Amino acid sequence: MDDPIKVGIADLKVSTAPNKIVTNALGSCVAIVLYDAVHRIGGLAHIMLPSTAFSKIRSNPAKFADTAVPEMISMMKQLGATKTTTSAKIIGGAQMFANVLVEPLGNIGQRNVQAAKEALAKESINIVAEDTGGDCGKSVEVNLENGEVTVRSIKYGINKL
Amino acid sequence: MVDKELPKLSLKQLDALKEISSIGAGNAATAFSQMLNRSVMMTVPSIHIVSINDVPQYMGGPETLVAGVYTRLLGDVFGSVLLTFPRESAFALTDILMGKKIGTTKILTGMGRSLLKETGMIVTGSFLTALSKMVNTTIIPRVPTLTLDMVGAIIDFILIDLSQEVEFAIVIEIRFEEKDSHVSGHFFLLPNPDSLKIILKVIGVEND
Repeated sequence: MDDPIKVGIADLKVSTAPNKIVTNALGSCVAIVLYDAVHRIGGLAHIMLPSTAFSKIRSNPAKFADTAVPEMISMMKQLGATKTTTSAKIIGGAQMFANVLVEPLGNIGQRNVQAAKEALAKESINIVAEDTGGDCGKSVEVNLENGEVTVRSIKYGINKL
Repeated sequence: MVDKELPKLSLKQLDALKEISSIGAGNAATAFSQMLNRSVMMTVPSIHIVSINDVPQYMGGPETLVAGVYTRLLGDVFGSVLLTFPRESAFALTDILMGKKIGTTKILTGMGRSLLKETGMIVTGSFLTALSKMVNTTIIPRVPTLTLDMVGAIIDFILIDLSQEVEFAIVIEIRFEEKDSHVSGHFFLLPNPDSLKIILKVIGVEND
């Protein structure tokens, strides 16, 4: 079996069954997982910020929720996926330290989750599961065989979505 | 895609930055040793200028479990200080500070947590005192906070903060180790890029 495809910070990848896609150690960042169950094509984006309005450097679509979603959809389309058969899962968006806010972003984890939801709603993609918020780090593995998402954290162990 | 052009510091600037970090580290090592009543060594700092995505690699890999004490810096110099201890070291540290036999602590209690934060405050504070004297600027550390988790998750909000302005991070890394190797860890200083410019200017190695 091939090694899972790795997604770094501000990065996104798409692939097909039977591959797996992983991303490690999400804190306030959010993983947006898309999966087309009919064509068995999926993608994962590890975003850092809600939208391009928050950064001076906007060249990387994978960095922002609002640009990562359409980018991932168009990349999945090239592999043969269709939007109507695609659904989403979102993971992450924690606040790792109590009382530490990133000015002017405030609770950035929460804002990233909100932005991911808005970006998905804009594309009319349903969110079928989420594991967001809280105060612990999470690692994510997507199995493109069936769309199953495995979330690992030191606090809660393994959570299947 | 990500701009791979990282800013470069001249050899002179790197040396100067290393020098002032070393003096800060010396000060911090003294304070740390006094606190533990054991000798603590700090290494010569290494300075990495890396793409934001690569920062977790320089901290031992994203999924490395650590106890992290985070201090945010305000004043003339903005930035972050993160002290990381491998889990066993964090336990040994609390044992030493509570006068218990090393190996007693198996889980971090409220007391253990505040001792780790206290350590973070003293080590960070003594580093910054030396630094702010040398560069003649005001650096105000906020109250430290602690968490036990994957290092990548612990630091991603620092990277998020930086990523609003730049695509790279300056990581000043100092390793420390107590003489019997019960306690070891890393001290990371991530100055905001504008603050680094201020520091370089004050010490007279500004870019032309």
